[in-house]
Amino acid sequence: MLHYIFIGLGGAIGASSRYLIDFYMSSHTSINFPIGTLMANLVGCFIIGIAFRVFHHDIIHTKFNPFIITGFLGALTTFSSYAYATLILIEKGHYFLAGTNLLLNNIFGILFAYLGARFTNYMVKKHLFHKFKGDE
Amino acid sequence: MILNIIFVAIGGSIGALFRFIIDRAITDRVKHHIPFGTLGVNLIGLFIIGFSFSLFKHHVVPPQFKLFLITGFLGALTTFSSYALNTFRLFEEKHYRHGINNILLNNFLGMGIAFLGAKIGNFF
Repeated sequence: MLHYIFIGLGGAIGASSRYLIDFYMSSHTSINFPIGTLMANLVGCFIIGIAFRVFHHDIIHTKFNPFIITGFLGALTTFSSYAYATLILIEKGHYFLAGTNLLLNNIFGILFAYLGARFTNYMVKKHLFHKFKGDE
Repeated sequence: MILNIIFVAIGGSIGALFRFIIDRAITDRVKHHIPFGTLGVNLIGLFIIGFSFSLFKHHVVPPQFKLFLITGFLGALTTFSSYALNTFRLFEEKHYRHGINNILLNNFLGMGIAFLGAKIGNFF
């Protein structure tokens, strides 16, 4: 039961954060491009790369996994808004913007997940992150 | 603004819970290198988003409901972070073909299904 509460709470915070990022980006830029969704996705991809290795190395207890990965990061990032926005760009004949949106989300999303994972590995190697097991 | 955030947050928590339940139901049944659980929730979310936007063209709905459904629920039901992490992991473990297939299925099958949802939504 606690599991579900953690996921629900993480989901609420993640979705609200995405809404605020989207709101901020769309009120500060005037381009015809879903930049807010792209930003939320790239931030989420970088953090999931970090978090995945952080859990792998036992730096944070896996009981926080549902809150951080399934709840928060799962809801911060989105596939539906990204893909629908791309479809609308195609429908309006903005093929270049649609292609750009597709490539930026996918290439940088996967790259940022990789860089996040590398970041954790680097921190572990430099002993800047500590395992909780054995330290207690 | 605060009220808008509350609508998004409620939708987001329900969406994240549905994603967890559907993802697990699929993953328990389908054992494959390609993460079909994440693909499944993304495809379901894409069908509903296409369908919903077509409905919104023909029926008046309050903006708060759109925030709840589109930004909150569907935004959280579908996910990009797990998709990107899984794809990176497939490449890392040298399952290049599965990685490429995962990208193609999520993106192109996904957009196809959103398009289908939009076409069906026009009938209502």
